[in-house]
Amino acid sequence: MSDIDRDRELEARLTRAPREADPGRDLWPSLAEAIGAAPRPSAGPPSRRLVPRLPLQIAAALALFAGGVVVGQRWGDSAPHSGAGGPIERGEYPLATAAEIQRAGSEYVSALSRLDESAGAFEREQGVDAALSTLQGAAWELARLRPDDPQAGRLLYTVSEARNDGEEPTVSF
Amino acid sequence: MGERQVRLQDPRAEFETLYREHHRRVYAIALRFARDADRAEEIVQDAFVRAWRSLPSFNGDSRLSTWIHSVAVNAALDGVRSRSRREARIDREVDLERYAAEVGRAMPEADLDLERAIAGLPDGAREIVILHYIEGYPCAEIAERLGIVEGTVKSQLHRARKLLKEALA
Repeated sequence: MSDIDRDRELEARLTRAPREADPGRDLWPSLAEAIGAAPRPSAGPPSRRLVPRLPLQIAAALALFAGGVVVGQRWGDSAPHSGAGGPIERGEYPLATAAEIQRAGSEYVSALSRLDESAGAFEREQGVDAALSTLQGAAWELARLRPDDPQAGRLLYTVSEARNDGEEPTVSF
Repeated sequence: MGERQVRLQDPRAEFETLYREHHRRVYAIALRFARDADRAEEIVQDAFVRAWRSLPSFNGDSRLSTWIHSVAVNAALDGVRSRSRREARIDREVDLERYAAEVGRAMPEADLDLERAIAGLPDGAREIVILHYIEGYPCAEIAERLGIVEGTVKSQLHRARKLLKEALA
């Protein structure tokens, strides 16, 4: 066998080498523990190319708005509440409002995600219009809550501009 | 292997799915670089912790599997180098038979004579052989990753082929 042939045979054996291996035990539990201690992925500071500012602002604004609606409705109910599934009493849990807002915002984002995956063009347009309308409301609420915050003012301006660029809304709140 | 998008609504659940899809590939890289199962597990964990931390910066320009693979290679290279520095001080040798046993268990279809021969190569040549012939990296990219010139990569490959042929003769 010539040296060239031996080179070819060696390269063939090398390229046939498996590229996956079984660790033999589940490494996920220790990894989950490690990433629990690691800083959680977040969107900031965002890559402008891939994480446009507007959607982030919109999501944050909507989360605040929708969560505020939910919490407001529950707190506004004068009936007494109890049980694990009941509304959270003011002061009972200091982060309750933030948690509710985050949950409501996640539901909103999930709904938009499902719309994008499965909806037809008409349904998608209605959904987008509903989303923008809700966002505009959220932006108003943010501007009301933080009247001196220029970011809140810019957000309201941006969302209002975005909504006014479209057709007349077919769904409104 | 199908590609998937990472949505950060439930990052840990999504990340576990990502881990389940890619950990065998990462373990293979780590095991060949480290030649030690325990150390390979550490490299896998390090690679995925790095991936977790830098997931928001994944810009979608490359396939997710390519990105994870790249993170794993960097973790493996860093792990091997930091270990080499420590071991140089205590003159510890790798147990090639123990390594071959782990390869036989973890990769039943592996050519054990070849794996032993690769594992017996000097560090620089071994890394380059793994990256080029097994992981498919071109010489120019290996040079960039290792901070050496492409000619050095090619000469290391030439030397490695000679050593491997001798070991397998």
